[in-house]
Amino acid sequence: MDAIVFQILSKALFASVVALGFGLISNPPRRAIWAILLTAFLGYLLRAFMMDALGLTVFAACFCAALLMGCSGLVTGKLTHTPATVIYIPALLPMIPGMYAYKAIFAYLTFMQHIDFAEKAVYLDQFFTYFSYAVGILICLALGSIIPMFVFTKTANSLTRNHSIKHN
Amino acid sequence: MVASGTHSSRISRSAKRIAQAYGYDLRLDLALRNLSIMLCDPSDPSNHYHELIAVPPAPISLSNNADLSRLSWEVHDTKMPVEVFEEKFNAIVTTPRYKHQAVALMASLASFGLCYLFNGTIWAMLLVFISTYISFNLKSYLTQKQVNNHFIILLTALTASLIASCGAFIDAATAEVAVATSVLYLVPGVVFISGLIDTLEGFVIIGFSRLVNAVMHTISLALGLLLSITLVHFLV
Repeated sequence: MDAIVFQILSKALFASVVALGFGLISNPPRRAIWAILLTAFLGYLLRAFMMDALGLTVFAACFCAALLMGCSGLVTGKLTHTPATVIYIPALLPMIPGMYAYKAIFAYLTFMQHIDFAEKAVYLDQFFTYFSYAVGILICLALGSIIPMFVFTKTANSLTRNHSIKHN
Repeated sequence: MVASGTHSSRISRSAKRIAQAYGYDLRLDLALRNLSIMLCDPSDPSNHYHELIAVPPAPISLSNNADLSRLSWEVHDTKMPVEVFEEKFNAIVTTPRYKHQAVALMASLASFGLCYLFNGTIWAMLLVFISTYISFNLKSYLTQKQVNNHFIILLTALTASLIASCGAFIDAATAEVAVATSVLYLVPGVVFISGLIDTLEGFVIIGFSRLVNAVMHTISLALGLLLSITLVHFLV
């Protein structure tokens, strides 16, 4: 049990580092860096918990994690006067289905190299399986993170407003 | 804001907010390469100003996205003089980005961490760190030389995955994880999400332009990876 907890926590910590490192390429504001770290940590923690401890599918885990990240983007965005997208887009990056995408490309290449129909069928099946996984995960991540913005539209549209500024 | 990768409804809202603060109505037509604006006097619609503005090519900046949106609220709430607004606007768009080498190191560290998340060995993690650092600097060099963006992505993905392929000298599993992780920092996450939000919010033309850009970017990345795998299979 302790091993699973350690594994989940360490993965969530690494996910925060990944989000920050990849996020810096897109030049996020300094005041939002803690929010990106926190959002990535919470999202990956939920994803790892749902997959490793509860045994749920990667799609369900990614969708719920992205939903949590979208909500976290709204809350931390309010505190940092930053749009939610600025926070949750870098935070989503550790969940990109890179291995599935790589395996799909590799299966496609092997499919092209074989002549035998039976062997080609195996690699074609592999290609579609991995490709569908990669696209499915991307759709779950994108939709899950966007839904909170459409549910709480008014809040999402005024996150950058600083209410402490004196109104004229 | 268009060049910074901000989604269209935020651009439209922010621009209209600023115009309203100074007593004008604003109509905006957005595209990726240019935008058409028309400022109207609400009391006299015949008094209007129209301009077609070319959007300068610029790297994605989440900072500009956040700060310009924040400035639009500040203008709305304080009705600051136009000169002050102009000064603050210029200060935001000319704020220097993070230091290049610091970003290169952090991106390499991120690839290192991502390799850990994919259960890579320490060798795979180190290889990915090196490949990201070298390919990231190559990407910056090619961008400075104004090479075609898709070609830059293809060459960068090819370089990153070829370096990561050195893991084949250790074992096949190390190479597989290293190659898969080495190109992921090139995935156009901001453009993809902005395109999706635009399309869902009814800004279909610019949304699809962004999505097509993101798909082209991903295809270039996949081609670089494909080329590298083919080369390694041919040579090893």
